[in-house]
Amino acid sequence: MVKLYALSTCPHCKKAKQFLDDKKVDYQVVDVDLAKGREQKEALEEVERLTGRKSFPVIVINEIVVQGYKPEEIEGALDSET
Amino acid sequence: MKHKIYCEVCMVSFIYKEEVEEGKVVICTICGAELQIEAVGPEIKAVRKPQEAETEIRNRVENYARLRDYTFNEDKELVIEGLIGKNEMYGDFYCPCRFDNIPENVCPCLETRMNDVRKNGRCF
Repeated sequence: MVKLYALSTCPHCKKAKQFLDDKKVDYQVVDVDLAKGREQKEALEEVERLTGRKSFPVIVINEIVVQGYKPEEIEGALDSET
Repeated sequence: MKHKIYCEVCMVSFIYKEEVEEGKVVICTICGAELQIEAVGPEIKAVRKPQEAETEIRNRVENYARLRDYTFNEDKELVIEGLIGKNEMYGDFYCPCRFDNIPENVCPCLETRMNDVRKNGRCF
């Protein structure tokens, strides 16, 4: 299961989406700044729990958390998933 | 003669060694913001130099990079676009990759000003 927490204003988040799209990865994305009420609150709490900060993108691949757009780390995590 | 000027962008005072006069534009040595001197007296009042948003943020990041001897990576234009977007939506140049639109996240953000670039190799 791959989940991407993003901000609609963040260029690195756009790159992360592009990267996952190019790799034909099936992923769920949450644009946290556009999310409303409880969904936003829960997403923020999750991101803060996983990374200790509220910076984006944050990509969760099963148990692996990648903070920031780091293609090699994302690729490594995807490989370990299959 | 040394002067202490308060920068409203990074909310810190910096030392300015040249002559000061009303209307003069000075660059904050902490964050690179362009400030215009409004009043000279025991305390010097300076405000953000009135200018077009894109010019302001481009000058600021250029000044900051020069002050800190940083170079720009290939994401420069994308990040400037994001900063302009945040300024339009939220009224200031908040980091496009951070959720909280708070003063410490005004670019160059507090973490970057506290030498985060040395640790991570880039501003966040």
